[in-house]
Amino acid sequence: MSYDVVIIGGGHNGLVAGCLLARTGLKTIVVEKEQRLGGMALSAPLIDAAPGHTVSPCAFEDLFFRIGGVVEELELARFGFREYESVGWAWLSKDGDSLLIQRDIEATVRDIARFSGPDAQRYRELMEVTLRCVDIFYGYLTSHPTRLDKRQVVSWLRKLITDRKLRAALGDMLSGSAVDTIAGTFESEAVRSIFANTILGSPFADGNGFTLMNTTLLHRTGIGRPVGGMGGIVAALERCLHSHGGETRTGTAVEHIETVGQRATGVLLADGTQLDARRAVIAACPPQAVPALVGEAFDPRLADRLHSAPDDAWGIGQLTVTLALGEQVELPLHRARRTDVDLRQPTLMTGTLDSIVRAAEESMLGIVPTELPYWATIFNAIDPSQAPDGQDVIDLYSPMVPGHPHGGWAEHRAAAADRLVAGATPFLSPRLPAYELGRFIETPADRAERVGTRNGCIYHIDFLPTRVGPLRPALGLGTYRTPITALYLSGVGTHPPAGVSGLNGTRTAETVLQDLATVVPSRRPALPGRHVREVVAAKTMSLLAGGH
Amino acid sequence: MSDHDVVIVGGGHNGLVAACYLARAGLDVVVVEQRDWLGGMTTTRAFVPESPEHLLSPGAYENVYLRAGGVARELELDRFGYREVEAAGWAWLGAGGESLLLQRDVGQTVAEIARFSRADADHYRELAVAGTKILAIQDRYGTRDPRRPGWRTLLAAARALVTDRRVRALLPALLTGTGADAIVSTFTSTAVRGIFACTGTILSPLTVDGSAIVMLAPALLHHQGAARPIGGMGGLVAALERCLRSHGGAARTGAAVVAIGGRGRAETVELADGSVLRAARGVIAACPPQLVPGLTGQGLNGSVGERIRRAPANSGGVGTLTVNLALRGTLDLPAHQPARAGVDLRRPTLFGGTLEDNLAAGAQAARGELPDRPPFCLAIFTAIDPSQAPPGQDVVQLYTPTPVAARDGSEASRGPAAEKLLASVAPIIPGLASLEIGRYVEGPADLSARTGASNGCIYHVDHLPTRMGPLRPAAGAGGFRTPLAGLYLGSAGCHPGGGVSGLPGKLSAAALLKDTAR
Repeated sequence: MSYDVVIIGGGHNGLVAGCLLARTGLKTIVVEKEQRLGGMALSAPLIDAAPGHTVSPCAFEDLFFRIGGVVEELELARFGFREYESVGWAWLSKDGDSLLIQRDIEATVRDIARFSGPDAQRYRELMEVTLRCVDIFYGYLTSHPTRLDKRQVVSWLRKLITDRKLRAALGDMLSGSAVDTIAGTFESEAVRSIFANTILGSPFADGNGFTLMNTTLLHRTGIGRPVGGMGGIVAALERCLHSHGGETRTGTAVEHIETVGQRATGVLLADGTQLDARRAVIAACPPQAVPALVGEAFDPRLADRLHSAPDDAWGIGQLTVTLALGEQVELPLHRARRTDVDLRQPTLMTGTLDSIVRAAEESMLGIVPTELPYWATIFNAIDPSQAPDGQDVIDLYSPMVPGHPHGGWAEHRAAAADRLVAGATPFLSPRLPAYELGRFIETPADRAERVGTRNGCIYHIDFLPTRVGPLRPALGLGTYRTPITALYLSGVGTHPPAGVSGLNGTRTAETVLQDLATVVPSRRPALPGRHVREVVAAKTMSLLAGGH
Repeated sequence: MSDHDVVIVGGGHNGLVAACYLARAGLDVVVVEQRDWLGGMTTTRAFVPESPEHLLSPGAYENVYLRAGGVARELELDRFGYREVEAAGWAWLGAGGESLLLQRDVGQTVAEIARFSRADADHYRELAVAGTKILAIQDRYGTRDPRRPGWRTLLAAARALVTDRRVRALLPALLTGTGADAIVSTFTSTAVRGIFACTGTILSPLTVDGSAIVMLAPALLHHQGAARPIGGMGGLVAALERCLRSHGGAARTGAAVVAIGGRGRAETVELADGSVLRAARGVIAACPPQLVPGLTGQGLNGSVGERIRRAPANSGGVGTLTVNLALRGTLDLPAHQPARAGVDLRRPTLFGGTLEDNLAAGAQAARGELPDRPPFCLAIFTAIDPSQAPPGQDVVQLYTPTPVAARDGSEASRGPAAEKLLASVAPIIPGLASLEIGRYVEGPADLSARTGASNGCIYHVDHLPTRMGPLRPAAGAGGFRTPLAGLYLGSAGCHPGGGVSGLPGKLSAAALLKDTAR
């Protein structure tokens, strides 16, 4: 069978790239090894005993998709994409109090003031400066890694040069660890804990200090909850792709990327089918898997750089347990004490900075934490379509479990899930065990198996200062192209490392179209001239030399 | 209450260097050290009671930047008895009797590597040339205030970067890639991969982004050479102590500091025995910086204090284990020496273990397990300086990566870890066990107890790209000053970092002098 473009991986980025390419008239197919499309954005009734409960085992909130431009570009509303607004994140204390981080900054600050006056003031100051950081930080994340808009770069530099506070904050966050910046900024357990729960990876690793920016986007653009779960995005993309004549094929893994000379010519599927690719092959899968798919034709030096690209490199992974319940949980300790919000709606957290630090320490040693921190999200409290009336589907997500516990996950899987559920029971409902109809468990090992990442890393490659822009996934592979002509990389292992954004698929499709010398729809701003780049480099150097 | 201009907390080499500079400038200086002897990680002592004439150096034993940084010359340490001999390079010993020697001369080293692989030799030469140029930048930057690089420093950096395409291409890869990747993608032979892995592991876990910088380690050898003080690293400490006293400074041992106090500034240092030292001009904390916020109470709270307290130390979970041995005879290398005429293999620092051994050991140690096949670094001190043991006898140090938090606890793991290390050495260097008189074993918890180093980190603060220059030990406390007036930091946890250079001590003293001259 012959196509213009073959895309490996039916996650949302593969589908976005597929839509953009199919739209220009290229004959495009997306190949997914699982029975269902979606990858880490999958939503489906995965619990046999509860076919009316929608499980989203990985992503469930949309921070980036709405600002990445894909929704408008692909007119996804036409294809059924809808989303609700999230009501924010709430931290529940053991004694029944709660702190809600909501879109409105002043309302959030007032809530924080109940816990600590100084923290409220610091939170307001932090948001003032991080909102300015976000313009630069997320501005860069939503740009091509090397081709930047001249005017935008000039405005970033002007900000960096004139705004000393901004420079100091960015420097601190990029060089400090999460624990450093959190404990160094806030004194109350409530505020410290909210931020601690959003740490991804090691709380102690330098460079993870930008955890302090994790609530900023909530205030700036809000967070979306797609109707039907994250899979709502996938369903809309699939319809969009088909409407443009693109194809999808599920349940068959790609075994080999065929090359002739140094050019990719197609893929071989596990069932022996040969798919020719006249124009391009896009690997919208974890980039670490690509050298093995290509074989000897892949430059061994670049293969080595990819081989140990950090993915959950600190030994910390994530566990999710989705519960299908026959009744609804009451949040007996907390819900009655708040009238301004129904606490069933926000994403809930109970872990403290201290318990999260302990869980991280244990996880790094290969031990399943004694006390598992978690986020609890009652999906149907915002989107009733995800569970039958009067029932609940609840996602328990622990950001701190070992990537590889001693003895392996098979040995610990059931007990870890029990521990997670037991920890949440007093907060959600003492009758939780009686309500349960069934559960879906995804350990890092399960996720590795399902989506093809090595350690089950939800970002494919860790979100580190050394792995953004042209350095992501690795130096020499940072602009979506590979040394193999017509073979491209996509997925969250490329720039930007931004969850469900669709930006990776967009950038890859643009790169393919550029190489095919086709007119790019929605053209990105032109490449800045050589002179401008030199000026920018010189300014950056002098800035760095001056310190902050 | 005794009155001084400056009190220096910590009698390691940096504390002593700072004290010497200040005393020489005419200030009344006292160094206080918690142990009964000076030296910290540069201590040399008879640690094995049954062999009082064997001098063991459980910490550092080679210095690279002491000469280049100018401290030895400026303090005229030779006047105070300081002598050193040129170190003899690094040698990797293979399991099949083969050996690879890296020495100061690049040409000889390249020829040596060519015996294993022509391509590796070519790549090594390129790396050494580019590496030397990069170190030339560090020569200027590392010896000065990290926040105010002068024009010449920037010029040197610009020259190296602009004129050499290879440097431009290499530097980003070294600052962002992992050591393991860099080694595998540059070299093919087991020996060259092995020696880069063994020497690199000492500096950083090889699987961390940015650890590719360890590829420059041999360039350090070619660039400035390395030296071993006569009498062990303690020879340097003795000379510094004499220098200090000759300038009128004092050192008190057995004097642990419990608090740094004052009204809005660091003015007093309280000792465990209750006595209080007044410091009219300032206090230099030449100890692990993580301890300092706790000593100041409310003096250094807030975000900078918190950041210093939590500065990463062996944050990958991997620390160091040394097994220091007093031997009753001469340690020979029967499997390797016969094949090497013209080179005495006892003289260089010896390494054993492949790249794979190093990676496996790092992964195991990070998870709290004792590595099954620990790679090793072995220095036979007496091969270069016989004064450290009775005639015909040796003192040696064995070194390997080990867990910071061993699963069975540090106390129960010390013995087994040492045995595993010796078992790993035995097939390559038979005879070590039969010569042993006694041993001094020091794991991360022991080093931490002896020197106060957080997690037993020999560099006080990890050498990460995010902890260099003005960010070392933490943003807001770079440049030796702290938010608490009169309190300075001056240890390996400051710019330019670990190793025996004396530069943190010298530069902290310079900062204090500059501030108080106003």
